[in-house]
Amino acid sequence: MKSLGAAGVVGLAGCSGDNNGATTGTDGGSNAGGTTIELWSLIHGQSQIANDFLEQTIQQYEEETNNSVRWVKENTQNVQNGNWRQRMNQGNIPQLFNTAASRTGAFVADDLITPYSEIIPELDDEVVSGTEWADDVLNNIYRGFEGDSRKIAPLGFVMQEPFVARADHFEEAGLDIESDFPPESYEELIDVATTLQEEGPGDYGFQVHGSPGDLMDEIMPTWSHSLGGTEGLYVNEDWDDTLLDSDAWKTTLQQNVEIHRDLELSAPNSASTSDEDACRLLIDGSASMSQVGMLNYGLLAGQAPDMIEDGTLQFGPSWEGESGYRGEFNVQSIAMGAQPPDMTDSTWENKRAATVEFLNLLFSSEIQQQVFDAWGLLPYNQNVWEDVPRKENGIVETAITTAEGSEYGWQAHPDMADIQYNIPGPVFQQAMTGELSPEEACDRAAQQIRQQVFR
Amino acid sequence: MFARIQKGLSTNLGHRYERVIAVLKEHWFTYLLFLPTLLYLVFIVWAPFIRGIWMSLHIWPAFGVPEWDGIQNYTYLLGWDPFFTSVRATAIYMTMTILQLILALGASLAARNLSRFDNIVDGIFLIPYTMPPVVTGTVWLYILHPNSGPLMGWLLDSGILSEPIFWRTDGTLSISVLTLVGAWTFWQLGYLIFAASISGIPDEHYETARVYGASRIQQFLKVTMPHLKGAFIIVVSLRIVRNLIKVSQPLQMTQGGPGFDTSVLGILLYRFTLNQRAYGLAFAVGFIMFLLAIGATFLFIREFRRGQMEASA
Repeated sequence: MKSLGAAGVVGLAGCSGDNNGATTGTDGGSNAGGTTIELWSLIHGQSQIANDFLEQTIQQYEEETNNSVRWVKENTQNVQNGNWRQRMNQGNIPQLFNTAASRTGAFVADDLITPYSEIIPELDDEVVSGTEWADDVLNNIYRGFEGDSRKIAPLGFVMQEPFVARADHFEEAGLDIESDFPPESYEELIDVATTLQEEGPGDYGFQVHGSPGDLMDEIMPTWSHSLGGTEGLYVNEDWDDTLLDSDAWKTTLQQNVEIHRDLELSAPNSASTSDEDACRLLIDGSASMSQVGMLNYGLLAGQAPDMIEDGTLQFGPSWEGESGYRGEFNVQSIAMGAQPPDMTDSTWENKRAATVEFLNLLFSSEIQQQVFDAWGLLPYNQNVWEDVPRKENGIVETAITTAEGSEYGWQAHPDMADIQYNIPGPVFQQAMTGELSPEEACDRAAQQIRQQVFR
Repeated sequence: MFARIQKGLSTNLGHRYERVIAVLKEHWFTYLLFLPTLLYLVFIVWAPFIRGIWMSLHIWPAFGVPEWDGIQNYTYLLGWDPFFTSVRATAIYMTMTILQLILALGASLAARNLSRFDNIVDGIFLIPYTMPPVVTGTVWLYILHPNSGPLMGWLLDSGILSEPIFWRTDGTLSISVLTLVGAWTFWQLGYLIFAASISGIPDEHYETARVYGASRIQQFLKVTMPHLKGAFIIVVSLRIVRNLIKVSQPLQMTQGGPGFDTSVLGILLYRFTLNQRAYGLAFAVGFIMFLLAIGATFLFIREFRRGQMEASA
């Protein structure tokens, strides 16, 4: 279970925004004529703070327009087990739904969304100017679909995958957190981690994650992409084959196995540990360094607020590999649903206008400034990046540096869950336990994906 | 010649038909009462099951058009290493049936000899059975946790172990733990059935045996066991079927890992159904599970009856 945003939440006064567009204002004016839109969300479930922020955003929207939001608090399981897809295919399509972009491919494939590219012309100028930088990222995420690849809008970005280290361990091991962190290559990582383990107070120099889920979406894809570029992604450019048996993935899995089994720089049970376990090991001082997703920032802030506040836990971007990329965008998305089959055109037009107004508010500088603290996301609207309050621990700079060094995100292939987790996860874990060699594991996982998904 | 056989056959069928009609006329109310159960079995159990077999012959996605695939789902499974790892895990996991049998029989025999507090003992034995498997799974996960579990702590403190055992990263240890925890969690059903059967044995039988100088072991073998044969069949059959379909506790404790080492067939089916929504493959696994359950139960009953007949001969 991931947890988002926790520390230092900024005040959420219901002040008006400075939207330039005609649709949303402070005078209660609206193009939608007082309609109700339905929103299915997942982001609220990350933490109480995340829930409160979405609630206040909705309140602000309702106060500023005559519209209202029917907010349905959903859960990830309903996306993964096909419940959403089934409901939408039966005509129950919400005006807005929020989930990870990598889970939205099936909705795009079934024509259950209104393409984001059609909405962009209706957004405020300030929003458009602040968000167009991400068009390439969206194109890369949805490139397997025909037409304009900007299918679904980002709510914000989880940048994969920052280093996190104990600054006090660096000091005790005779290392300098300013110059020795973050490591700039795999070889440097091994050197630093070995010194930390041998000279520092911790038991493990660098904690890797071996549980099937986290093996597939934390350190591995970041390193693989930074090493092999597009060859290190999950599926190829045409989306008709997996790349899990590419050299980039094999090398990366080999490196993870090496850290765990050969160099023993990670905990003995790393073949089954998660990124949350790594956070706990960092907090209790057993581990000196790891790479954990930004989604864990809330967990760290909740369990070790002092370490987060005073910079004992330091964040740093992952290295630029041979491909020149630092990492990947794990996009939290907000999609506009398609017109439900039994909805009249006039009703739909009202709801669509109301939805655009909501998106304008959501992407406005006023709201976007707060999504880092509230939701743990790098804002979609780049205009506010400079305004996000910096912290001693370097998390904001890390997220921005990673974003500036990345172009690709987890792809939104309709069968992404199978390709990314369900099929390869247990097989890759067999490499971590020593049951298979890394090369065998990559070959077998890719073969199984071809047999089950691409046959 | 052929015409004579045909005539004889039709006469025979005619008699049978008349007999069936006569029976139905005589016992129509009894059959009427049976009808709802019959309809339930046909429409809720057998029709979906047969449809499931049909689905197993297709690529049957959650969304989209099913595609005829013949026996490809089965050939895929039979050529897929993790499937056999899963069958192996299931076979090991099923050995908890034997452990449950031993625990249940031992406890019910011990409880039989109690003259006081027998109700309390019954309660102590049976209350854990009311706990959901995920609760007992959580308890055991805590007890066996390598870093913070009390058992591992005690083993380390007392010097029996020099370092904690990370059992979830070792396939053999993981399936062993699952089997032992499963046996502990589900043995009480057997106790309930054995205890009921034992309480039905008249005391006179034991008194007679004692008069003839039978030892405790002889009393058990010659008096108790013959009365428990029916209970044995029920307990083993029920436990085979119930243990084969266990998913929640193994899934909670190991998520089927490491790798596929604890992915019992139920977990494989769960993954194909809920994670991958590959219903054709899921039903192929389900059908194989059904055959295994039926086969194991049939074999057990046949061997048990054969043993009974040999003993009585």
